[in-house]
Amino acid sequence: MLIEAQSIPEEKVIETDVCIVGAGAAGVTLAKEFMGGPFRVALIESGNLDFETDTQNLYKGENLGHSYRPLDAVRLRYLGGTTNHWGGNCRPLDASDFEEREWIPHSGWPFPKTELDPYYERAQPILQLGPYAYTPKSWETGQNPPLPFKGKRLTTAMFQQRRTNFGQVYRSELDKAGNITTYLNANVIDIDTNETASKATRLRIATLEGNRFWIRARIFVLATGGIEVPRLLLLSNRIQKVGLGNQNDLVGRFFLEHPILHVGTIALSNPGTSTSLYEKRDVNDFVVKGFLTPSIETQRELKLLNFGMRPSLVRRSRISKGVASYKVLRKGFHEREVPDDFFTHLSNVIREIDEVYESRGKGQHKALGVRYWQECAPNPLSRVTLNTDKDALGMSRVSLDWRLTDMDKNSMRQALKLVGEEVGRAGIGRLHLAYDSDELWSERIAGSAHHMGTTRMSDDPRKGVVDRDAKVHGIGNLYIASSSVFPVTGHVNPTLTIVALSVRLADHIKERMA
Amino acid sequence: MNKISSTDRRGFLSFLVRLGLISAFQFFPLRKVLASGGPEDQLSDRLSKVCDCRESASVIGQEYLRIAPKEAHKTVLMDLICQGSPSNQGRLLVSDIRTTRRVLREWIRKDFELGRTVLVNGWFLSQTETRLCALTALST
Repeated sequence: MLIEAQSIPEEKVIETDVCIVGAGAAGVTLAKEFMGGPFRVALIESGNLDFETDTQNLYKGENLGHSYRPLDAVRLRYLGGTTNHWGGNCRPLDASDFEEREWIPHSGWPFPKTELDPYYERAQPILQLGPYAYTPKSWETGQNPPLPFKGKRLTTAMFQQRRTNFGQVYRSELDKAGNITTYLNANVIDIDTNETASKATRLRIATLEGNRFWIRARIFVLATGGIEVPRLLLLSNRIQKVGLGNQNDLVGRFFLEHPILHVGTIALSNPGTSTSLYEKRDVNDFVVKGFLTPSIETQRELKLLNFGMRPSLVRRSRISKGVASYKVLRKGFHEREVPDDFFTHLSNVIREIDEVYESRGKGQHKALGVRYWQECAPNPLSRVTLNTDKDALGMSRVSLDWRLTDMDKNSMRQALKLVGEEVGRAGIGRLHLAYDSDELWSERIAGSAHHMGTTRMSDDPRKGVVDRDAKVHGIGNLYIASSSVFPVTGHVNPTLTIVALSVRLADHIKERMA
Repeated sequence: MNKISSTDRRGFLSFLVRLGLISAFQFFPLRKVLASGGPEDQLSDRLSKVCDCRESASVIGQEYLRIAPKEAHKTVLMDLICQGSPSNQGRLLVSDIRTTRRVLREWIRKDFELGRTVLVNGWFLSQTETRLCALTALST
């Protein structure tokens, strides 16, 4: 059932078996896994059923590092969490992402991909995806061949895409589940522990209207994302003064993102080159799209971070200043306004009049726009910390200091050189970068709103906040279901892995409680 | 860094498309080449006129020569294009057009395979094709 937290009597202590904090992809998945079972579950959601500004404002924070979008714009705080506005790209991490790669410091997961494969498979239907199949062979037809690269330095792989909104899709199930109680507008402001901080005992819940109450549980799971999980641990410092789980100063460190950049275009040697495999398309009611990625051998040879890039057909007009200017002038004409820089636009149009003319027709695809993204090198100096500002609940806000390293920069340069070479070698065309070498490494590189790594997983408490079961080191009953546990991110979108880890965690908790 | 103008870029794109296939190398008729001087001059003349988008190639070539001023001599460029091999020079000179195209195509492919690339005005180009552009620039 769904309950409005404001309706809970002041200072009441609610008893439950499992308490999950956060009703996004991870939290809802965990709750679903417990549905119909013997355990009582409390699902705590800060927001309501829809977007509300006051609640969303709790996400405000400051950016100290690499240019980044406002922290209250890169996630959503209501039922369904950030799945309310995500892109829906899904793919498992590569097997090599789980391995320790000697050229990447702090790399490797505590278990291999084969450990997660069964859970990836179970995650597919939760995300309303097709079969657990991500090779081109699984999805291509004769009309959609991969680009004809020579050798195996660059390979084609597939994404599945479905923007499953967990709040909308699973709201009814949550409401009907007899053993699941979802508390809306309920904000966790403290995790209380015993006197040795070896066991979480209860959560302090607050509403924006001023109500306060407690939830006591046998098991607690934080599922609030890569920024809020460390925030909550750092704020819960009554017993452990440096914050829960932070005895080795790791909580909030190793913040990881996926740097993303539109790098330029590939001029095609043959305008008829088929690139449909890389376009979003429907196959048996499932949406898939291809992308390019380096083989592990190439990553090893060139000491690269893993990366992906997706070429997509662009009309020549899209890379023409003249056409862009023509659109500005046309808009001005329709709105009866003279645009700024009128003469510059006019000059652009005149200089590229043939492309402007062509742009009015169809079938002018002669170039591939190239979107590039890569994994981030784990970096302890890239971090989330608390600052002195307070939110409406009196909780310290966060500062995000996303830092990229020389390794990130060099890997990107090397990767683009590799792509340029392979495109030329195969006779596909030539790669043209939109920026010169220095501009490339600039504010043009954006984050992907994927917040990871801040409570990284390791069997060694000196190297990670959680163990291989996602349990916080040193605290017997506190778990984390979030991309914050990713020690290494690969280059792919994190949601499928978040859901798979959540299914795995649910199995672990059930087994433990039984 | 000098930016290639949009018009030049368009022409250069066209040049690259053709260079990729080596189908638009417009070699002068052999008798005209042979009438123009010694073997070095003949080869230089021939290679510098391999495409019909000379202005665009010239812009790239000029930029490349700015990066690599030591190569700003026809003989140096020809030597580098032919990988320092007199027999390669002779091969290019006496081959029929089809063979010459095939040889250049293979050299360009090999450049990409071995990482012998140059970044000029944002383009990832093979050294051979860039030097052909430079030769064009010197001849324009």
